Amino acid sequence: MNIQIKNSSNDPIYLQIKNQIRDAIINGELEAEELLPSIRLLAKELRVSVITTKRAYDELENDGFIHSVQGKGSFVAPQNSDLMKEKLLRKIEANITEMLHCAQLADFSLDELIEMIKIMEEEHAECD
Amino acid sequence: MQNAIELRGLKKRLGSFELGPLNLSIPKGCIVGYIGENGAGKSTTIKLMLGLMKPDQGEIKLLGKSIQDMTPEMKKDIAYVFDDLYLPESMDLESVLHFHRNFYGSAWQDKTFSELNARFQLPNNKSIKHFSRGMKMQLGLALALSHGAKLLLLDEATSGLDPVIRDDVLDLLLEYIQDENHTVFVSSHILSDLEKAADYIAFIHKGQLLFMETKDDLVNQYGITTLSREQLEEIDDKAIVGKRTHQFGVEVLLKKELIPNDFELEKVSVEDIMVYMIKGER
Amino acid sequence: MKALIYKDLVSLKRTVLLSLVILAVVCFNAVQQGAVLLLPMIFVLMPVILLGIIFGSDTQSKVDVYIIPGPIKRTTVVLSRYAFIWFMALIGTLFTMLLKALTSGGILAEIPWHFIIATMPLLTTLIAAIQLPLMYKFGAEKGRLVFVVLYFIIFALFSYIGSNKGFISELVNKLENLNLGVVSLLLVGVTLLLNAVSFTLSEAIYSKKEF
Repeated sequence: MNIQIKNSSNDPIYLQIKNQIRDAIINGELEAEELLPSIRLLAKELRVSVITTKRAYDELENDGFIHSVQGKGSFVAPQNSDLMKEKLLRKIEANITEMLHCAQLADFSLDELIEMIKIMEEEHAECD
Repeated sequence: MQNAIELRGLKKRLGSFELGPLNLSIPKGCIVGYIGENGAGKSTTIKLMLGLMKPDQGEIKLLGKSIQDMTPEMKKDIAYVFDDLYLPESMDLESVLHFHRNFYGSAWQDKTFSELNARFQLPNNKSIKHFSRGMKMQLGLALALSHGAKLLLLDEATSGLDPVIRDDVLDLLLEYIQDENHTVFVSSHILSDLEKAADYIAFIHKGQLLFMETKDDLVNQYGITTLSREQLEEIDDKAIVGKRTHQFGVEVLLKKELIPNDFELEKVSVEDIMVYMIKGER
Repeated sequence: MKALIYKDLVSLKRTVLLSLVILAVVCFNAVQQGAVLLLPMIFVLMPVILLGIIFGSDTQSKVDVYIIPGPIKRTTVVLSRYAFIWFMALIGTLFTMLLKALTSGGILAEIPWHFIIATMPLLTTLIAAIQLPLMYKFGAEKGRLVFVVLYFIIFALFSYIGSNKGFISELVNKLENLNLGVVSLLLVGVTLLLNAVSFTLSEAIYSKKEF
């Protein structure tokens, strides 16, 4: 696995580390149950502070990408695609609830909302 | 978790200078950069911690133990490097080694020392008098790391050294804290590249601790940009930490949370923050 | 403490060689001229000279800054310096006794053994015992200066007493009446007291010092 830290990047260093490990897990470069380098070793190799690497690992763990075993280290969590979908679904549901609430306050109709989503989807597609 | 360094209400008066009251807690397993101007009180703090000076008031605990209660055996857990070696200049490598074997007794690690020595390639047949400043610091660091200490205090040890040696020091410090029971406290008026490895930054100014924060949070809180004078007027005064006015604009260090999100800000270094804070005050 | 004494010896290394050479020359000369009593006097001066050199070297390298945070008590640091002096005194006494055993006749033969054992430690530690607290208090350079001033005061005191002939003859008379054994015992007491007071003073001064 390669990790590249860019000082020119606007992302804080912990986020750069986190995102690169997350990507490596998602695209299968890191396999399930694979042992990750310790936070201290990673800090030493990348020449960053231990707090930085710890934060990256903590967030990866919160997002379910890795799990830590006390005294043994951090391992890649098995990525269950159904589970991932389930999680994303719940996130979407929460966002929709919030969106509907806001729409009600602003007096937007459902059709207007759907129209907005369509426009934004097109913009999003262009960005990608 | 036990703190590696704990200062409580520490006070020391030296002529017209007054340090403290200083409160500082440093968790073990991290690297702390203790920064400030020359004369801000960094060396005084370290001297108090090492028992070279006695506090007027307050308590100092190192590795969970009050320093007055430390036996010589416990002091072996503390290592220190100053800006100079402070060993008789007529000593050569061999006699320095012999001295330390006796000084640290069973805690002394010949193997660690010879490994570090080989890495630095210090001259065997010269007396310390003829060592360069860099060599003296390397020897000091090698000695400090060779008696199994859990706390390493560096007082201006890397100031004025060339970048290559400072780079070695960075590696050594990072290697040292691979053991999570090890802690490093670096005092310096210029951290430069050591900043990379620092977990926390403590900033002392005129004898007072202005803040101690994780470096990541600190650096993310601030940004630098150059504005025109008109743009500057629109910004909340509280957001401006410090500024440098020149003929073609004003360079400002800003608190990110107090300014609009769409501002284009550049990343800052710890040094930028230190300089702007001190100058902003003037 | 071993480490500290080793450090002192390293600082002295060159000087020790030089002093040994001088010592040999003086010895040879003194024996040839029959002035055997000069030899023990070397041991009165030597500790003072060496002490000056050690303090000078320590001041120059500020070695206290390195030693005090280390695994050692301040008391031990002071003790190591006294141990050095006491060791020199022991050598001086043994040397004088050896000299007495080897030479037949002359002034040494007339001085009884116990008197030598009583006077040599006093003579060899006297100056150092006065000088050490001064050096700890005022530093190596100023300490020596203060010592010189003190020396003149004592000298003046002596010449004042000296001009007072009656007092001297009275003292001599008194001493003659005393048993030499009692005097020896008295001298041992003075030596012990002097060194104990000197050490206590030095220790008190050094333990309060800031660097």
